Amino acid sequence: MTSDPPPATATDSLPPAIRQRLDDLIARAPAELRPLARQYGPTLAAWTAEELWDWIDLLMRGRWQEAHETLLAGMSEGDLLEEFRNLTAELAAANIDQARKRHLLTEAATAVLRGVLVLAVSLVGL
Amino acid sequence: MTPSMTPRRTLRFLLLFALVGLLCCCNGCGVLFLSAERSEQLDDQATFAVRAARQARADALDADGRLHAMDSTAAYFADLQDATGWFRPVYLAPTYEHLLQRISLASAEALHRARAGQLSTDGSTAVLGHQAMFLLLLQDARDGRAGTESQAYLADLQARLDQPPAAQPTPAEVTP
Repeated sequence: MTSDPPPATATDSLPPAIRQRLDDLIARAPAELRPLARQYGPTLAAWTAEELWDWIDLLMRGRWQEAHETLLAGMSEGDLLEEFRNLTAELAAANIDQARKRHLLTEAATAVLRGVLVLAVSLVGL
Repeated sequence: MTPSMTPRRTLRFLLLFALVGLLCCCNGCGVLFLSAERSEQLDDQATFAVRAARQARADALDADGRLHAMDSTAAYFADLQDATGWFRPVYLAPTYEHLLQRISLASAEALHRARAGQLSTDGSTAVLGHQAMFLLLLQDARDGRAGTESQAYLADLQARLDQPPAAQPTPAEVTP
């Protein structure tokens, strides 16, 4: 998977001028939105103005699932595979994060409950 | 109730049992809760998807086999998404629920392209590999497991997919 040469992405098919403009826009985007802009920007930049407005209309109506489907349908094969790679990495990162939180929560809850348990045992008179 | 068990003492015993129960819950709860039946389905689907991904990588899976494997796993993700929520057989933490929605949509799009003959062989191999990884990662989420280093963890998952195929998966093997 990772050893295969990456398929062509939507960025590769863009005219150089649009690619340059897209790079500028990504550079000017807030740091936290840059990964998203880099991920979906090339797909959006390849759309016509009408397609873009239809997509924005879906977002404004709160039909995000359809908007996401449209976005995926507009992606090149390379960008779709990039989406799969990102999802794999995000799921792995979520597992690491959740395992760490779970460990902390378990430790804290166990400590509190052990204290209460000792109190309850003494109340019962065991 | 024995004469020595006063209502107050009974109440204290109940409190004690409730605390012990809470203690067990805190040790056992996870971000992904599946009923026993759903848990078994996840294991079956993961086994199937890993086999299919290995065979696809070894060029031992024809177009129909790839399509079937992709279809089966995409249907599983959609089914899992439908069954998610409080008081349902599947509970997912919000982060996982959001990721599952995206996984489900991406899988449906890949399947749509594969059916239309718009997905290359390399592309379908990659999709099958990622779908198998999603399922392995969901198993880990269910069991509360995680690697210490993200990249090392992914490399380990990749290594599990890189092992030679064991047996030919059959369409009847998995019913999500």
